[in-house]
Amino acid sequence: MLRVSQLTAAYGSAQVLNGVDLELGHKEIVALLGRNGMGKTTLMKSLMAIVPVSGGRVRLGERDITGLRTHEIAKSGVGYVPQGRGIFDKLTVEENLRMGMRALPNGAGGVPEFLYEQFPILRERRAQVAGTLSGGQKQQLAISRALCSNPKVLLLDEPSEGVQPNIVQELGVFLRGLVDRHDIAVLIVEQNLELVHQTADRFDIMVKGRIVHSGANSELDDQGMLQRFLSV
Amino acid sequence: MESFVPFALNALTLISILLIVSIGLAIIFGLMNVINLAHGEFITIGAFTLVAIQAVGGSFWLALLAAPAVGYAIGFALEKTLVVRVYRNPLHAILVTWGLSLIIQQVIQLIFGPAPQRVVGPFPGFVTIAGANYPAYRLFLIGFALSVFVGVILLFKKSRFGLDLRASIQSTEMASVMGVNADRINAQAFAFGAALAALAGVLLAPLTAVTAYMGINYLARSFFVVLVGGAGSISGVAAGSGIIGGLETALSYQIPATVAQALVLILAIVILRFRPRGILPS
Ligand SMILES: Nc1ncnc2c1ncn2[C@@H]1O[C@H](COP(=O)(O)OP(=O)(O)OP(=O)(O)O)[C@@H](O)[C@H]1O
Ligand SMILES: [Mg+2]
Repeated sequence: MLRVSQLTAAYGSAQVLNGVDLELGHKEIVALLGRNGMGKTTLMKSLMAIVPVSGGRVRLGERDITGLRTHEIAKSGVGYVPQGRGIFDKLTVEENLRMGMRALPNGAGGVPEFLYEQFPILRERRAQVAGTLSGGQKQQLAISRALCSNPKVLLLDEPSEGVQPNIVQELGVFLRGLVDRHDIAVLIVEQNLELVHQTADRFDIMVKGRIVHSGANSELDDQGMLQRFLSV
Repeated sequence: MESFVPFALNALTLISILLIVSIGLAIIFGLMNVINLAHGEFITIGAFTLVAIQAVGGSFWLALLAAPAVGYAIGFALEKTLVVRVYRNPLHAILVTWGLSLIIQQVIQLIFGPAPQRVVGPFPGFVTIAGANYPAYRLFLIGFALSVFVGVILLFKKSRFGLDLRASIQSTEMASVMGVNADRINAQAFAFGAALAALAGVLLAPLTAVTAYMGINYLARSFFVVLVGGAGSISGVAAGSGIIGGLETALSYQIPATVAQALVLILAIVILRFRPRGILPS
């Protein structure tokens, strides 16, 4: 679904991505792991062209989306939930969701019913200003907003951050159900290994802007491997 | 009562003009962090659209329709060719829009000459309110400008353009992640502000000497309206216009108008000293 090859990106003269190779299959959930400051967020931002890409290619399905602008990437079918969620705090919950439909071909539509079923709070609070939601509710809103445009690929940057454990658990169940029932693939950056265990099909580990190790979920019990790549 | 009614109406005239001039400035500032020093020239462009249309026998009403279109078109073209290049650098933005304002003034003066132009308003008569005679045109101006302001609020709250604009003012980055073309919304917002200023220019023209420099006065006032009220919020623009317009009108009853204007601007600076983000920040 998503194929990233030899991607490089820099902030000014500081190169952060040093040739990332990564693949995301149809209906697959891949976790991207790595210590702080290794470039996971930067990778997601460069996939969205928020950080400019200096080299390499990104393909979405059959389409080469390298060099497209952010809104064009959104319209080509990539949904993105940034670290910190990026909610429009001063807009209402419903207006946030309406913004999520801008990437649809005609820019408008209805909120998919399964989202309201999964997160009924979003319907109850639809007229409320989004800034008043709790951390977990904001995360539900951010994910729903990204799904309103029916994307082919969903990029999630640390969705469990600042969210209560029971909501994190629910989120895991939701993501599994999502790929089972919809044509979507998910790339998830996550520190919470339990959530990774619960949701991901496999994982990639990033060190200094490169993928240095890929593995199946069973390998997440390998203490030596975790020690080597993830412990601080 | 007899002297209060004309005072209130005079204040409302200035306030309602400031409202529609300042809202454009506030949007542009909120969205792009650019102070558009050429904003006043769009008032002038609007007023001269009326001059040109009346010169060929057209009506005030035609100008009221045409001026916003002219303002929009010129604003859009200037944004696309010039202003878009300087958003990232506030100092460049100030210099470029300032240069732009000088150029527009000179071009208008070249075309129309330095002598003040006279235009005629659509209502010559007076209306008696609570025993005081008041020019009918000013009543129309107040009503019309306030309706435009309400219309703009509705556009912001209810339309797709308004939603995209409010989202982009909060975060251009997240709006583009949603699929909003940032360049397009910036150009539309700039042009929209220019159109409103041009509309204000038509409304003002029958009340003042129409010259190539008429916009300058209003730029300073609306600049302070935006700062005092709080950049990027509609209620801030309303509060700022009320304070600046009301005070200036009140003071000009006691002291010469230019001194009143200077005093109001000094007071605005004092307010900003204590509330640097304005009275009602967004
Ligand atoms: N806007 C920026 N300007 C300059 N350098 C930056 C910027 N954002 C991030 N960096 C640097 O780029 C590197 C990678 O940062 P990034 O945020 O991608 O890491 P991360 O893997 O997402 O970390 P975390 O787990 O803390 O979220 C870090 O060294 C960081 O200091
Ligand atoms: Mg990060």
